[in-house]
Amino acid sequence: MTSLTRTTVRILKNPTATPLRTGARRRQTTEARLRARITPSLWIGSGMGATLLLIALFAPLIAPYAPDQVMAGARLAPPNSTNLFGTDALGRDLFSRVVHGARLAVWTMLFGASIAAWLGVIPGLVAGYVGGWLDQLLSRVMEIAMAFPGILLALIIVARLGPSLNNAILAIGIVSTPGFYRLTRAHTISARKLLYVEAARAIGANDARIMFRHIAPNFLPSLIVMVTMRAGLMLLASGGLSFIGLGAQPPSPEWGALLATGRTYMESAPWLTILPGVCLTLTIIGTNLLGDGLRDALDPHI
Amino acid sequence: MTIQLARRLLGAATTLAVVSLITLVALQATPGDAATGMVGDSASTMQLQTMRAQLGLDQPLPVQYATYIVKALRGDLGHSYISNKPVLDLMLERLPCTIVLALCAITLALMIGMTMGIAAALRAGTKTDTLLMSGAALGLAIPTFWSALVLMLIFSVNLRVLPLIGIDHPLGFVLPSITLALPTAAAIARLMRSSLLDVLRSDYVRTAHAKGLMPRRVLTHHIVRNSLLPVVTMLGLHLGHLLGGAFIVETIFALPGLGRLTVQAIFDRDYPLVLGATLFIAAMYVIINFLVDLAHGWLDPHVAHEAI
Amino acid sequence: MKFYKILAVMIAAIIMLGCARATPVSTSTPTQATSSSTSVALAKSSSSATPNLNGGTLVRAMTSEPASLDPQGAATSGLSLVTPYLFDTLVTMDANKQLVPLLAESWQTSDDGKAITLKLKTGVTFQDGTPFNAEAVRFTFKRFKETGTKSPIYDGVKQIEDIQVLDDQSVRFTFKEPAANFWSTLAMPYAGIISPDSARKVAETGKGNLIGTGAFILAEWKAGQSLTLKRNPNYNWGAPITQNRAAPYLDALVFKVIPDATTQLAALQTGDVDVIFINQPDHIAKLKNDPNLQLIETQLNSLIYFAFNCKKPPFNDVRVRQALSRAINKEEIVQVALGGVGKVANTYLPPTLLGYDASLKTYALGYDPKQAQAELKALGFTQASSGTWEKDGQPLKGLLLTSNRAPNDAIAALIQAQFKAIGVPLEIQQLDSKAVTDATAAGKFDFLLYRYDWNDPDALNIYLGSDRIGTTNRAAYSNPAVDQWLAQGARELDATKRAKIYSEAQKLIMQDAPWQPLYIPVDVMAFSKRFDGIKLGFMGRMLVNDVRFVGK
Repeated sequence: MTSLTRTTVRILKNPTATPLRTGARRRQTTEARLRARITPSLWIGSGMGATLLLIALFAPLIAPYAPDQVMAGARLAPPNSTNLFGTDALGRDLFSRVVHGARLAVWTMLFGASIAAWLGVIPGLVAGYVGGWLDQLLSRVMEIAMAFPGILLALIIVARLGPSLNNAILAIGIVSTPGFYRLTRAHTISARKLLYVEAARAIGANDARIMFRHIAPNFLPSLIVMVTMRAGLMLLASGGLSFIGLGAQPPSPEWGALLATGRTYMESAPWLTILPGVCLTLTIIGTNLLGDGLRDALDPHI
Repeated sequence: MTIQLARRLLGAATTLAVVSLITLVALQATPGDAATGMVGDSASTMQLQTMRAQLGLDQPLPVQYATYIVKALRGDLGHSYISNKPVLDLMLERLPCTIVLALCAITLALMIGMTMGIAAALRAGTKTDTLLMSGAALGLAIPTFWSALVLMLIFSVNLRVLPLIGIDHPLGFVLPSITLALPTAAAIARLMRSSLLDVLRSDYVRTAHAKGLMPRRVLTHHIVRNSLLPVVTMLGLHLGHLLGGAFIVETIFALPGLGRLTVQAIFDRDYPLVLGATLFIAAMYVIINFLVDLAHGWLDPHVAHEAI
Repeated sequence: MKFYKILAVMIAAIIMLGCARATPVSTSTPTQATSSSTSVALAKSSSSATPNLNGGTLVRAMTSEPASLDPQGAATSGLSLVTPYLFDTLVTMDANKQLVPLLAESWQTSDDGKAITLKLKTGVTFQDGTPFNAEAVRFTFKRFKETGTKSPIYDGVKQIEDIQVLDDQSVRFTFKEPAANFWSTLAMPYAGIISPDSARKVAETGKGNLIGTGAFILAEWKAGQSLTLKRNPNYNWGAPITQNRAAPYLDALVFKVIPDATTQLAALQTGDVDVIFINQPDHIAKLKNDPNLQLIETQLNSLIYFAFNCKKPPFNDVRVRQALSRAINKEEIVQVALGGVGKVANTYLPPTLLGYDASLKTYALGYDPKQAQAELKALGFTQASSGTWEKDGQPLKGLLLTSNRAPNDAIAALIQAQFKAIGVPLEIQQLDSKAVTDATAAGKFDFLLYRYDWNDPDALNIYLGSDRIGTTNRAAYSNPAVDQWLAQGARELDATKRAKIYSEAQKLIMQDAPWQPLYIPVDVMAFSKRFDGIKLGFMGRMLVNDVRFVGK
């Protein structure tokens, strides 16, 4: 506690360490501001993200084999010069599968996170800002959505629409929605009372403008952190659904599915889980770093 | 106050009613019903129809729903189609394991996550911060079934210091709790750091300081309190998830928790059991939500009058 | 393996440093730490008596627990695993599928085949002390007809027209038609004889468990965790399928619920369990070299098959089915997807069932991708430059439906690759078994990868008979000539004649090619060498009456 106090004092006493909203800052050029706030996280994170995107984009060129090409003779071969990541139980080249899986990973994160964010943020903002019966109604809907077991929702979606990666992502996205809603709503309620919001209201700014120009920037950093964290979690969740048998269908090289099936060979062919696992982990770390970097760069308070 | 409490209770009741209705409709919409599963692989059409009639599956949906609600209000959640045992008993058998596991995991996660998050925020930008946040990133990035297996292979199979499966031994909860706590701790650490930094840099901390308040007062009354808001929200979400059962961890460590019961019931199309489990999970959310709102009121005076 | 050791040492070092004190965790192996208190006590008592003759607790892993222990209840997966030890049946079968007496001493079939008279053993008592007699048999089957609708043998039992108690120890079943499959119905674990007294108590109070005459008595059931059975000291009416026909040597038999196959494997290695069933080929390869374990292979009365949706064009054309059947390489499926554990199947019945006829192989459609393509061409399909086929503007492709059971994903992916090789693209859909049942009933598939387990050649009727279309005849196959043979087979009591009938039926079916039989699964049981004398009975049942604890 004392160290916390000391740091607080340090931060408060030394405004250059944590620049605060001042008139001087506003006069800085955008370029200079951004340059000052580009952290190693942003560099590393965007580097990893760009690598993933490039791999995904050029997957057919990078992968030496088709992801579903069965080579009966080469069953469960450990990593070697022809099969960089070894082969799986059907003799498929794991490296090619992982490379093609990168496309699905990118898609999972983009599609899943955008479903959750859009379905959560707009209602959260409206509910927190307008309040009253609209808030009651929206909160009730979200409460019901949240109270509903995720796996049951996934099962129903899969049962109605058929099992596929996209339907699994849809389920995961919907399940994640209330988290975004609650975050947005809580921040909006807090922000609504802030002086400058009330000031903006007093000078007659319209509601949409207040919501998006004055309130939204308040929770943007938290939202970015949440989106990046959720994007990673979505990759994990799609693997979890594969574990239950509701995820991507064989022979899809989706990373979660690779892990879920490779798991049974954990002791005899550990590369089947370790190598896709490392790729998954690196990807999630990359998105997190990117999120951190963006947060530092975009933080409206700084 | 009383009116608001009553409104809240009414809201909770609505939630539970709507959740059970949606579940019932959804289950009806799911291909395959309990009767198909129960009569086995070799059943004739006649046998199936008999079974459906016996279970009341041939009744119209509103009748099924009304029957269920009336009984549920009397505390009767019905009997499992598959085992014929009361749903409530089946769930109560699995509840202790789930509660112990959830509380162990959430406590562990809170301890690790808060420590990491606060430490990282106070040393923002230093190597310690980078190290801690890399650890958190790793914790978030590892699939549960993977970490569960690795922990099991290391501590139970190779080192043989912890029991492999089951809850006969109190140490049996150690590995499952760690497995479940890892991602939650990582999430808390990240959110705590980000939120604490937000507060430390915000206008009102500066204002408080400008008013001449003592730093300690600034700290306890404003900074930690305010930075806890999103953490509490997230904690509630995670606890709710855990109390609904942790299917993957229960499966791998062979624990008799609610998660396995619910998933099995879904695959069996055992409607009464699925409905019971759904209602339980929904009730947990309602209660936790309420607690989270109370905590928000306590932490942030702005929302105090809106919590209740 | 090396990887885990290094990781283990690293993590251990971190923990030691972190704790800064070596926590004296019990040095005993997890077996001792986690086994129930009963087993510890039992181990002690056995060491003081003549060593290693009696006693010991055998722990077997099971994937899911039964929903109830009512033999006539819904056939949840653990039910047939546990009930044979609690409930005896009237007759049972030896490993060669020959009928042997259990609670019935002898039996006679009337000349017209419409009545069976069984003479029951004397001096048999239920575990609740009430005597086993003809009335109990009558009660059991009467209860079956009333409440056993969930049972997989309900249809078999329904054939009974009347049950008469002739005297205390004899009972007669009468039928409208001779029922050839009735003996295998009686031998199923679902036909265990129930104490009428216990059934009435359970019905009245809604609590407690049904009671049988089995070699073990239910002692404890921890929901979701384990079932503990202790030995029935009064038992002396065992079937002649084990040497010891009196009470088992074991003190107790425990079934531990361990849903995950990988965990089961680990539990066997740590000694938490003594017996597991394995269906992962790589687990078998791993355990083969373990000096503390023994493996037994058993072939089940099961068949994995690839079915066509015979109602849906173009697969309603027998020639299309024949052509596509030739695209499947069964040898590759067994070698690659199963790691060599399994036997290629050519006919529609497994070798362990009556009616199996190896000579029918001549009708089988062997792997020949060139022939498959030639036949497609002859049928008017044209091949595009991309390799795919079409006829009348309809591309030749399909949806391969299967359940999400363990090796199905690998087999499906392999078949997909084999079809791709002749230019027919498949899409795979893996659903849970209930959803598969529903999808097949609605005809929402083109190809199906599925499995049957049945104890009697009547399987052909159940899975391919016209009156089962919409339920178990998933291929929706219909051939009146075949139906006639199958109906005749169900009535024929003479084994030789019956075998001939099913052989004829298969001949017709194979020419229609509704399925391509793939392989006969081989189940492997691995058990700890701390126990001796474990045998496998029919349908892969673990026989424990001869089992002795020989310790470490």
